[in-house]
Amino acid sequence: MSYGRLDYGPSPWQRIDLYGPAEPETASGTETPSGTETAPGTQAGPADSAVPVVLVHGGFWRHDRTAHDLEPLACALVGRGHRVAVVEYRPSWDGGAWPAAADDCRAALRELAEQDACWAGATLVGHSAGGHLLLASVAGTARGAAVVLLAPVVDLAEAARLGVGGGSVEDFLAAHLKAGGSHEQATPEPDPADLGSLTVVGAEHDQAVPHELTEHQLTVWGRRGLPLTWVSVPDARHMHLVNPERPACRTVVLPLLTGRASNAEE
Amino acid sequence: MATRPGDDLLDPNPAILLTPPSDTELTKAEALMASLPTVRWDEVERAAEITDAIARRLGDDRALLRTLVARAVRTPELREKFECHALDDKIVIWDDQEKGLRIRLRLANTDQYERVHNHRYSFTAYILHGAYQHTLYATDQPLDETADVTRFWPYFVREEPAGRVITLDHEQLHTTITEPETISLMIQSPARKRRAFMIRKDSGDVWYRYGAADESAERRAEVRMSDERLHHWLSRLEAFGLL
Repeated sequence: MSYGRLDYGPSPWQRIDLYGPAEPETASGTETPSGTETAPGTQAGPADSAVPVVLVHGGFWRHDRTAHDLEPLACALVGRGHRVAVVEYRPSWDGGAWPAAADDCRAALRELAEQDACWAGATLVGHSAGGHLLLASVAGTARGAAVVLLAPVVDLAEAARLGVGGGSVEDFLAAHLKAGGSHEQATPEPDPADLGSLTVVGAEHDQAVPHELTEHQLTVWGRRGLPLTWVSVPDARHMHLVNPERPACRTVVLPLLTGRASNAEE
Repeated sequence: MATRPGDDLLDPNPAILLTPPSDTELTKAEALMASLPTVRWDEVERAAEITDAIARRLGDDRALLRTLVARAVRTPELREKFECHALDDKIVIWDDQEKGLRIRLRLANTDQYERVHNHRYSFTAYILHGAYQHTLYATDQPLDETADVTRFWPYFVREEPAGRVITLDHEQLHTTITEPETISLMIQSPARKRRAFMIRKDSGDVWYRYGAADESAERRAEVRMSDERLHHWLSRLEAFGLL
Protein backbone atom coordinates (compact mmCIF):
# COMPACT_ATOMS: atom_id res chain seq x y z
CA MET A 1 0.00 0.00 0.00
CA SER A 2 1.24 3.47 -0.79
CA TYR A 3 0.03 6.79 0.48
CA GLY A 4 0.13 10.31 -0.79
CA ARG A 5 -1.41 13.67 -0.19
CA LEU A 6 -2.37 16.42 -2.53
CA ASP A 7 -3.26 19.90 -1.28
CA TYR A 8 -5.60 21.91 -3.45
CA GLY A 9 -5.98 25.04 -1.31
CA PRO A 10 -4.55 26.89 1.67
CA SER A 11 -6.87 25.44 4.31
CA PRO A 12 -5.71 22.23 6.05
CA TRP A 13 -9.08 20.80 5.05
CA GLN A 14 -8.37 21.32 1.35
CA ARG A 15 -6.49 18.11 0.76
CA ILE A 16 -6.86 14.79 -0.99
CA ASP A 17 -5.65 11.57 0.66
CA LEU A 18 -4.27 9.21 -1.94
CA TYR A 19 -4.01 5.44 -1.62
CA GLY A 20 -2.45 3.08 -4.11
CA PRO A 21 -1.40 -0.52 -4.52
CA ALA A 22 2.32 0.14 -4.90
CA GLU A 23 5.03 2.04 -3.08
CA PRO A 24 5.34 5.64 -4.21
CA GLU A 25 8.51 6.80 -5.83
CA THR A 26 10.99 8.27 -3.40
CA ALA A 27 11.50 11.41 -5.41
CA SER A 28 10.88 14.83 -3.89
CA GLY A 29 7.25 15.49 -3.16
CA THR A 30 6.28 11.97 -2.07
CA GLU A 31 5.70 10.91 1.47
CA THR A 32 5.61 7.84 3.67
CA PRO A 33 2.58 6.69 5.65
CA SER A 34 3.89 8.47 8.73
CA GLY A 35 4.98 11.54 6.83
CA THR A 36 3.22 14.85 7.04
CA GLU A 37 4.78 16.87 4.29
CA THR A 38 2.65 18.09 1.47
CA ALA A 39 3.17 16.12 -1.69
CA PRO A 40 2.39 18.35 -4.65
CA GLY A 41 1.73 16.28 -7.68
CA THR A 42 2.30 12.93 -6.14
CA GLN A 43 0.09 9.98 -6.89
CA ALA A 44 -0.32 6.93 -4.75
CA GLY A 45 1.04 4.10 -6.83
CA PRO A 46 1.38 3.68 -10.56
CA ALA A 47 -1.55 3.64 -12.91
CA ASP A 48 -2.96 0.20 -13.59
CA SER A 49 -5.95 -1.31 -15.30
CA ALA A 50 -8.43 -0.95 -12.43
CA VAL A 51 -10.57 2.18 -12.65
CA PRO A 52 -9.52 4.75 -10.02
CA VAL A 53 -12.08 5.69 -7.39
CA VAL A 54 -12.71 9.09 -5.81
CA LEU A 55 -14.52 9.07 -2.45
CA VAL A 56 -16.30 12.05 -0.87
CA HIS A 57 -17.33 11.62 2.76
CA GLY A 58 -20.52 12.77 4.44
CA GLY A 59 -21.16 14.14 7.91
CA PHE A 60 -23.87 16.71 7.14
CA TRP A 61 -21.35 19.29 5.89
CA ARG A 62 -20.25 19.87 9.49
CA HIS A 63 -17.85 16.89 9.68
CA ASP A 64 -19.63 14.52 11.95
CA ARG A 65 -17.49 12.30 9.69
CA THR A 66 -14.19 13.11 8.02
CA ALA A 67 -12.03 11.76 5.21
CA HIS A 68 -10.30 9.49 7.70
CA ASP A 69 -13.55 7.61 8.19
CA LEU A 70 -13.32 6.41 4.60
CA GLU A 71 -9.80 5.04 4.95
CA PRO A 72 -10.98 1.45 5.56
CA LEU A 73 -13.04 1.56 2.37
CA ALA A 74 -10.10 3.11 0.50
CA CYS A 75 -7.80 0.34 1.74
CA ALA A 76 -10.31 -2.32 0.75
CA LEU A 77 -10.43 -0.87 -2.76
CA VAL A 78 -6.64 -0.72 -2.94
CA GLY A 79 -6.61 -4.38 -1.97
CA ARG A 80 -8.65 -4.98 -5.13
CA GLY A 81 -6.16 -3.10 -7.29
CA HIS A 82 -7.66 0.39 -7.41
CA ARG A 83 -6.06 3.73 -6.83
CA VAL A 84 -8.22 5.76 -4.48
CA ALA A 85 -8.50 9.47 -3.72
CA VAL A 86 -10.43 10.57 -0.65
CA VAL A 87 -11.44 14.22 -0.83
CA GLU A 88 -11.44 16.33 2.31
CA TYR A 89 -13.16 19.70 2.24
CA ARG A 90 -13.99 22.58 4.55
CA PRO A 91 -16.85 22.06 7.02
CA SER A 92 -19.64 24.60 7.20
CA TRP A 93 -18.21 26.05 10.47
CA ASP A 94 -14.72 26.51 9.06
CA GLY A 95 -15.16 28.19 5.71
CA GLY A 96 -17.21 25.50 3.97
CA ALA A 97 -20.71 26.99 4.09
CA TRP A 98 -22.50 26.75 0.75
CA PRO A 99 -21.18 27.03 -1.89
CA ALA A 100 -17.61 26.77 -0.57
CA ALA A 101 -17.61 23.02 0.22
CA ALA A 102 -18.92 22.26 -3.26
CA ASP A 103 -16.29 24.57 -4.73
CA ASP A 104 -13.71 22.60 -2.76
CA CYS A 105 -14.96 19.32 -4.13
CA ARG A 106 -14.92 20.67 -7.67
CA ALA A 107 -11.40 22.04 -7.19
CA ALA A 108 -10.25 18.68 -5.84
CA LEU A 109 -11.57 16.83 -8.89
CA ARG A 110 -9.90 19.36 -11.16
CA GLU A 111 -6.62 19.08 -9.28
CA LEU A 112 -6.65 15.30 -9.53
CA ALA A 113 -7.28 15.39 -13.27
CA GLU A 114 -4.50 17.92 -13.75
CA GLN A 115 -2.06 15.74 -11.85
CA ASP A 116 -2.85 12.56 -13.73
CA ALA A 117 -5.32 12.13 -16.58
CA CYS A 118 -6.42 8.75 -15.24
CA TRP A 119 -8.45 10.51 -12.53
CA ALA A 120 -10.64 12.13 -15.18
CA GLY A 121 -12.17 8.71 -15.78
CA ALA A 122 -12.49 7.75 -12.13
CA THR A 123 -15.60 6.33 -10.53
CA LEU A 124 -16.94 9.11 -8.30
CA VAL A 125 -18.48 8.01 -5.02
CA GLY A 126 -20.30 10.23 -2.54
CA HIS A 127 -21.63 9.09 0.80
CA SER A 128 -24.53 10.94 2.47
CA ALA A 129 -23.92 14.71 2.23
CA GLY A 130 -20.84 13.88 0.18
CA GLY A 131 -23.30 12.86 -2.53
CA HIS A 132 -24.62 16.41 -2.60
CA LEU A 133 -21.14 17.88 -2.99
CA LEU A 134 -20.21 15.36 -5.64
CA LEU A 135 -23.29 16.00 -7.75
CA ALA A 136 -22.80 19.75 -7.36
CA SER A 137 -19.26 19.25 -8.64
CA VAL A 138 -20.21 17.36 -11.79
CA ALA A 139 -23.41 19.26 -12.64
CA GLY A 140 -22.87 21.28 -15.77
CA THR A 141 -19.56 19.65 -16.69
CA ALA A 142 -20.86 17.27 -19.38
CA ARG A 143 -18.22 14.97 -17.97
CA GLY A 144 -20.16 11.76 -18.49
CA ALA A 145 -18.98 10.59 -15.09
CA ALA A 146 -19.69 7.25 -13.50
CA VAL A 147 -21.23 8.31 -10.20
CA VAL A 148 -22.20 6.14 -7.25
CA LEU A 149 -24.18 7.76 -4.45
CA LEU A 150 -24.40 5.91 -1.13
CA ALA A 151 -27.36 6.98 1.04
CA PRO A 152 -27.22 10.43 -0.54
CA VAL A 153 -28.61 13.67 0.91
CA VAL A 154 -28.91 15.88 -2.17
CA ASP A 155 -32.29 17.62 -2.31
CA LEU A 156 -31.77 20.28 0.32
CA ALA A 157 -35.33 21.60 0.37
CA GLU A 158 -36.68 18.15 1.07
CA ALA A 159 -33.87 17.33 3.48
CA ALA A 160 -34.57 20.52 5.42
CA ARG A 161 -38.29 19.80 5.46
CA LEU A 162 -37.61 16.36 6.90
CA GLY A 163 -35.12 17.70 9.47
CA VAL A 164 -32.30 15.54 8.15
CA GLY A 165 -29.12 16.00 10.15
CA GLY A 166 -30.83 17.95 12.90
CA GLY A 167 -30.79 21.38 11.29
CA SER A 168 -27.54 20.84 9.44
CA VAL A 169 -29.03 21.97 6.12
CA GLU A 170 -30.00 25.33 7.62
CA ASP A 171 -26.53 25.71 9.13
CA PHE A 172 -24.89 24.84 5.81
CA LEU A 173 -27.06 27.30 3.90
CA ALA A 174 -27.37 30.02 6.54
CA ALA A 175 -25.46 32.75 4.72
CA HIS A 176 -26.92 31.75 1.35
CA LEU A 177 -30.50 31.92 2.69
CA LYS A 178 -29.81 35.17 4.50
CA ALA A 179 -28.63 36.66 1.22
CA GLY A 180 -31.94 35.72 -0.38
CA GLY A 181 -30.92 32.36 -1.82
CA SER A 182 -33.08 29.28 -1.76
CA HIS A 183 -32.69 25.61 -0.92
CA GLU A 184 -33.47 24.81 -4.54
CA GLN A 185 -30.56 26.91 -5.78
CA ALA A 186 -28.22 24.87 -3.61
CA THR A 187 -29.63 21.57 -4.85
CA PRO A 188 -27.60 20.27 -7.81
CA GLU A 189 -29.50 19.48 -10.97
CA PRO A 190 -27.22 17.41 -13.18
CA ASP A 191 -28.13 16.74 -16.78
CA PRO A 192 -27.87 13.37 -18.50
CA ALA A 193 -24.71 14.60 -20.25
CA ASP A 194 -23.00 15.09 -16.88
CA LEU A 195 -23.45 11.47 -15.89
CA GLY A 196 -22.42 8.36 -17.77
CA SER A 197 -24.18 6.41 -15.06
CA LEU A 198 -25.79 7.20 -11.74
CA THR A 199 -26.03 4.33 -9.27
CA VAL A 200 -27.81 5.06 -6.02
CA VAL A 201 -27.40 2.70 -3.10
CA GLY A 202 -29.72 2.87 -0.10
CA ALA A 203 -29.56 1.14 3.28
CA GLU A 204 -32.78 -0.54 4.37
CA HIS A 205 -32.45 0.56 7.99
CA ASP A 206 -30.80 3.92 7.40
CA GLN A 207 -31.21 5.88 10.62
CA ALA A 208 -29.79 9.12 9.17
CA VAL A 209 -31.44 9.40 5.75
CA PRO A 210 -35.19 8.80 5.65
CA HIS A 211 -36.61 6.64 2.87
CA GLU A 212 -38.93 9.49 2.01
CA LEU A 213 -35.96 11.62 0.99
CA THR A 214 -34.38 8.82 -1.02
CA GLU A 215 -37.62 8.10 -2.88
CA HIS A 216 -38.14 11.79 -3.60
CA GLN A 217 -34.64 12.15 -5.01
CA LEU A 218 -34.98 9.03 -7.15
CA THR A 219 -38.24 10.35 -8.57
CA VAL A 220 -36.69 13.71 -9.44
CA TRP A 221 -33.62 12.15 -11.04
CA GLY A 222 -35.77 9.74 -13.00
CA ARG A 223 -37.84 12.63 -14.35
CA ARG A 224 -34.66 14.40 -15.42
CA GLY A 225 -33.75 11.40 -17.53
CA LEU A 226 -30.58 10.56 -15.64
CA PRO A 227 -29.10 7.10 -16.33
CA LEU A 228 -30.28 5.80 -12.99
CA THR A 229 -29.80 2.46 -11.26
CA TRP A 230 -31.22 1.87 -7.80
CA VAL A 231 -29.78 -0.66 -5.38
CA SER A 232 -31.38 -1.33 -2.00
CA VAL A 233 -29.27 -3.11 0.60
CA PRO A 234 -31.23 -5.16 3.14
CA ASP A 235 -30.31 -5.19 6.83
CA ALA A 236 -27.99 -2.23 6.46
CA ARG A 237 -27.62 1.05 8.33
CA HIS A 238 -26.17 4.37 7.20
CA MET A 239 -22.49 3.81 7.89
CA HIS A 240 -22.57 0.12 6.94
CA LEU A 241 -22.35 1.13 3.30
CA VAL A 242 -18.81 2.47 3.73
CA ASN A 243 -17.55 0.00 6.32
CA PRO A 244 -15.81 -3.00 4.70
CA GLU A 245 -16.30 -4.96 7.90
CA ARG A 246 -20.03 -4.95 7.21
CA PRO A 247 -21.75 -7.28 4.75
CA ALA A 248 -23.51 -4.34 3.10
CA CYS A 249 -20.19 -2.88 2.01
CA ARG A 250 -18.37 -6.16 1.48
CA THR A 251 -21.00 -7.90 -0.61
CA VAL A 252 -22.74 -4.97 -2.33
CA VAL A 253 -20.76 -1.74 -2.41
CA LEU A 254 -17.28 -3.13 -2.98
CA PRO A 255 -18.37 -5.43 -5.85
CA LEU A 256 -20.26 -2.51 -7.33
CA LEU A 257 -17.21 -0.26 -7.22
CA THR A 258 -14.85 -2.89 -8.49
CA GLY A 259 -17.15 -3.76 -11.36
CA ARG A 260 -18.10 -7.22 -10.18
CA ALA A 261 -21.63 -8.59 -10.13
CA SER A 262 -23.82 -7.52 -7.24
CA ASN A 263 -26.12 -9.78 -5.31
CA ALA A 264 -28.28 -6.89 -4.25
CA GLU A 265 -31.89 -6.42 -5.17
CA GLU A 266 -32.08 -4.08 -8.13
CA MET B 1 -8.27 32.70 45.89
CA ALA B 2 -4.78 33.31 44.60
CA THR B 3 -3.82 36.90 43.98
CA ARG B 4 -0.81 38.36 42.30
CA PRO B 5 1.19 41.58 42.60
CA GLY B 6 -0.52 44.32 40.68
CA ASP B 7 -4.03 42.95 41.07
CA ASP B 8 -5.06 46.18 42.76
CA LEU B 9 -4.07 48.08 39.63
CA LEU B 10 -6.39 46.11 37.38
CA ASP B 11 -9.24 47.85 35.68
CA PRO B 12 -12.30 46.71 37.64
CA ASN B 13 -14.44 47.30 34.56
CA PRO B 14 -12.99 45.30 31.70
CA ALA B 15 -13.98 46.57 28.28
CA ILE B 16 -15.86 43.40 27.45
CA LEU B 17 -18.41 44.35 30.14
CA LEU B 18 -18.63 47.98 29.11
CA THR B 19 -19.07 47.29 25.40
CA PRO B 20 -20.78 43.94 25.07
CA PRO B 21 -21.22 42.32 21.67
CA SER B 22 -24.15 43.35 19.52
CA ASP B 23 -27.19 41.17 18.92
CA THR B 24 -25.90 40.55 15.41
CA GLU B 25 -22.57 39.32 16.75
CA LEU B 26 -24.31 37.09 19.27
CA THR B 27 -26.62 35.60 16.66
CA LYS B 28 -23.72 34.95 14.32
CA ALA B 29 -21.66 33.30 17.07
CA GLU B 30 -24.57 31.13 18.21
CA ALA B 31 -25.23 30.03 14.64
CA LEU B 32 -21.63 29.03 14.20
CA MET B 33 -21.60 27.10 17.47
CA ALA B 34 -24.82 25.34 16.55
CA SER B 35 -23.21 24.17 13.31
CA LEU B 36 -20.35 22.38 15.06
CA PRO B 37 -20.24 18.61 14.62
CA THR B 38 -20.87 15.81 17.04
CA VAL B 39 -17.56 14.62 18.51
CA ARG B 40 -17.04 10.88 18.81
CA TRP B 41 -15.03 10.80 21.99
CA ASP B 42 -15.04 6.99 22.08
CA GLU B 43 -12.57 7.17 19.16
CA VAL B 44 -9.92 9.47 20.53
CA GLU B 45 -8.02 9.81 17.24
CA ARG B 46 -11.18 10.96 15.48
CA ALA B 47 -12.02 13.25 18.40
CA ALA B 48 -8.51 14.71 18.30
CA GLU B 49 -8.76 15.51 14.59
CA ILE B 50 -12.04 17.34 14.83
CA THR B 51 -11.54 19.06 18.19
CA ASP B 52 -8.12 20.31 17.11
CA ALA B 53 -9.84 22.10 14.23
CA ILE B 54 -12.68 23.38 16.41
CA ALA B 55 -10.26 24.67 19.05
CA ARG B 56 -8.24 26.53 16.44
CA ARG B 57 -11.37 27.89 14.79
CA LEU B 58 -12.56 29.37 18.08
CA GLY B 59 -9.21 30.27 19.61
CA ASP B 60 -7.84 32.02 16.54
CA ASP B 61 -10.92 34.18 16.04
CA ARG B 62 -10.54 36.62 18.91
CA ALA B 63 -13.71 38.53 18.06
CA LEU B 64 -15.68 35.28 18.20
CA LEU B 65 -14.00 34.25 21.45
CA ARG B 66 -14.82 37.63 22.95
CA THR B 67 -18.45 37.27 21.92
CA LEU B 68 -18.67 33.79 23.41
CA VAL B 69 -17.12 34.88 26.70
CA ALA B 70 -19.41 37.91 26.93
CA ARG B 71 -22.38 35.68 26.17
CA ALA B 72 -21.32 33.19 28.84
CA VAL B 73 -21.00 35.93 31.46
CA ARG B 74 -24.64 36.85 30.76
CA THR B 75 -25.95 33.28 30.56
CA PRO B 76 -26.85 32.12 34.08
CA GLU B 77 -26.53 28.39 33.42
CA LEU B 78 -23.00 28.94 32.11
CA ARG B 79 -22.04 31.59 34.66
CA GLU B 80 -22.87 29.09 37.43
CA LYS B 81 -20.19 26.79 36.00
CA PHE B 82 -17.36 29.33 36.31
CA GLU B 83 -15.11 27.91 39.03
CA CYS B 84 -12.00 28.66 41.06
CA HIS B 85 -9.63 25.93 42.23
CA ALA B 86 -6.19 25.79 43.79
CA LEU B 87 -4.28 25.47 40.54
CA ASP B 88 -6.61 26.85 37.94
CA ASP B 89 -9.91 28.59 37.32
CA LYS B 90 -12.38 28.01 34.55
CA ILE B 91 -14.83 29.95 32.43
CA VAL B 92 -17.32 27.74 30.59
CA ILE B 93 -18.24 29.32 27.26
CA TRP B 94 -20.34 26.60 25.62
CA ASP B 95 -21.97 23.41 26.85
CA ASP B 96 -23.60 20.98 24.44
CA GLN B 97 -23.34 17.57 26.03
CA GLU B 98 -25.26 15.86 23.23
CA LYS B 99 -22.54 16.81 20.78
CA GLY B 100 -19.74 16.15 23.26
CA LEU B 101 -18.80 19.80 23.36
CA ARG B 102 -18.17 21.44 26.70
CA ILE B 103 -15.86 24.31 25.88
CA ARG B 104 -14.11 26.41 28.47
CA LEU B 105 -11.10 28.55 29.17
CA ARG B 106 -8.63 27.09 31.62
CA LEU B 107 -6.92 29.87 33.52
CA ALA B 108 -3.82 28.79 35.44
CA ASN B 109 -3.17 30.45 38.77
CA THR B 110 0.19 31.64 40.02
CA ASP B 111 0.62 28.89 42.61
CA GLN B 112 1.48 25.49 41.20
CA TYR B 113 2.33 22.09 42.66
CA GLU B 114 2.72 18.77 40.98
CA ARG B 115 -0.04 16.19 41.20
CA VAL B 116 -0.33 13.11 39.06
CA HIS B 117 -3.91 12.83 37.95
CA ASN B 118 -6.33 11.61 35.36
CA HIS B 119 -9.66 13.15 34.38
CA ARG B 120 -13.35 12.35 34.44
CA TYR B 121 -13.43 13.24 30.75
CA SER B 122 -11.21 13.17 27.68
CA PHE B 123 -10.23 16.57 26.39
CA THR B 124 -8.45 18.70 23.84
CA ALA B 125 -6.50 21.76 24.97
CA TYR B 126 -5.32 24.59 22.75
CA ILE B 127 -2.69 26.63 24.58
CA LEU B 128 -3.46 30.28 23.85
CA HIS B 129 -0.99 31.92 26.24
CA GLY B 130 1.87 30.66 28.39
CA ALA B 131 3.09 27.05 28.36
CA TYR B 132 2.84 23.66 30.07
CA GLN B 133 5.57 21.37 31.27
CA HIS B 134 3.69 18.22 30.42
CA THR B 135 4.57 14.78 31.77
CA LEU B 136 2.76 11.51 31.12
CA TYR B 137 2.97 8.74 33.72
CA ALA B 138 2.55 4.98 33.95
CA THR B 139 1.86 2.96 37.05
CA ASP B 140 1.31 -0.69 37.99
CA GLN B 141 -1.11 -0.25 40.88
CA PRO B 142 -4.77 0.47 41.53
CA LEU B 143 -5.70 4.14 41.52
CA ASP B 144 -7.05 4.41 45.06
CA GLU B 145 -6.00 5.44 48.57
CA THR B 146 -3.36 2.69 48.69
CA ALA B 147 -1.45 4.18 45.74
CA ASP B 148 2.29 4.55 46.32
CA VAL B 149 3.50 7.85 44.93
CA THR B 150 6.92 6.36 44.11
CA ARG B 151 5.31 3.96 41.66
CA PHE B 152 4.22 6.58 39.14
CA TRP B 153 6.88 6.65 36.44
CA PRO B 154 7.22 9.53 34.03
CA TYR B 155 7.79 8.24 30.52
CA PHE B 156 7.07 11.21 28.29
CA VAL B 157 8.03 14.79 29.06
CA ARG B 158 7.75 17.82 26.85
CA GLU B 159 7.04 21.51 26.76
CA GLU B 160 3.64 22.45 25.36
CA PRO B 161 4.03 26.03 24.12
CA ALA B 162 1.38 28.51 23.10
CA GLY B 163 -0.09 27.46 19.76
CA ARG B 164 -0.01 23.73 20.47
CA VAL B 165 -3.10 21.55 20.62
CA ILE B 166 -3.10 18.32 22.61
CA THR B 167 -5.76 15.66 23.11
CA LEU B 168 -5.71 13.34 26.11
CA ASP B 169 -7.76 10.28 26.94
CA HIS B 170 -9.47 10.42 30.34
CA GLU B 171 -7.48 7.38 31.56
CA GLN B 172 -4.08 8.95 30.92
CA LEU B 173 -2.15 9.92 34.06
CA HIS B 174 -0.24 13.16 33.72
CA THR B 175 0.96 16.38 35.31
CA THR B 176 0.89 19.84 33.85
CA ILE B 177 3.10 22.41 35.48
CA THR B 178 2.09 25.68 33.91
CA GLU B 179 3.67 29.04 33.64
CA PRO B 180 1.59 31.51 35.69
CA GLU B 181 -1.52 32.66 33.86
CA THR B 182 -1.28 30.05 31.16
CA ILE B 183 -4.56 30.18 29.24
CA SER B 184 -5.99 27.20 27.36
CA LEU B 185 -9.12 26.67 25.36
CA MET B 186 -10.42 23.29 26.48
CA ILE B 187 -12.94 21.06 24.73
CA GLN B 188 -13.96 18.20 26.95
CA SER B 189 -16.06 15.10 26.50
CA PRO B 190 -19.04 14.23 28.64
CA ALA B 191 -17.95 12.58 31.90
CA ARG B 192 -16.55 9.09 31.35
CA LYS B 193 -16.32 8.18 35.02
CA ARG B 194 -17.64 9.42 38.34
CA ARG B 195 -14.39 10.64 39.84
CA ALA B 196 -10.85 11.46 38.76
CA PHE B 197 -7.79 10.28 40.68
CA MET B 198 -5.20 12.69 42.07
CA ILE B 199 -2.01 12.14 44.06
CA ARG B 200 0.28 14.91 45.20
CA LYS B 201 3.88 14.15 44.26
CA ASP B 202 5.57 15.75 47.25
CA SER B 203 3.37 14.18 49.92
CA GLY B 204 1.64 11.18 48.36
CA ASP B 205 -1.76 12.50 49.46
CA VAL B 206 -4.56 10.98 47.41
CA TRP B 207 -7.87 12.61 46.65
CA TYR B 208 -10.55 12.59 43.99
CA ARG B 209 -12.30 15.19 41.94
CA TYR B 210 -16.02 14.69 41.37
CA GLY B 211 -18.44 16.28 38.98
CA ALA B 212 -20.74 19.09 40.06
CA ALA B 213 -23.68 16.70 40.43
CA ASP B 214 -21.79 14.79 43.14
CA GLU B 215 -20.67 17.86 45.06
CA SER B 216 -22.40 19.39 48.05
CA ALA B 217 -24.03 22.80 47.92
CA GLU B 218 -21.29 24.06 50.23
CA ARG B 219 -18.60 22.81 47.87
CA ARG B 220 -20.36 24.35 44.86
CA ALA B 221 -20.56 27.69 46.64
CA GLU B 222 -16.91 27.42 47.62
CA VAL B 223 -15.65 26.92 44.08
CA ARG B 224 -18.04 29.32 42.33
CA MET B 225 -16.12 32.18 40.75
CA SER B 226 -16.89 35.57 42.29
CA ASP B 227 -17.64 38.60 40.16
CA GLU B 228 -14.44 40.19 41.43
CA ARG B 229 -12.39 37.22 40.31
CA LEU B 230 -14.21 37.09 37.00
CA HIS B 231 -13.43 40.75 36.34
CA HIS B 232 -9.81 40.05 37.19
CA TRP B 233 -9.63 37.30 34.59
CA LEU B 234 -11.47 39.30 31.95
CA SER B 235 -8.97 42.11 32.40
CA ARG B 236 -6.06 39.70 32.13
CA LEU B 237 -7.51 38.08 29.01
CA GLU B 238 -7.87 41.50 27.45
CA ALA B 239 -4.33 42.42 28.49
CA PHE B 240 -3.03 39.25 26.79
CA GLY B 241 -4.89 40.19 23.62
CA LEU B 242 -7.04 37.08 23.81
CA LEU B 243 -10.34 38.97 23.92
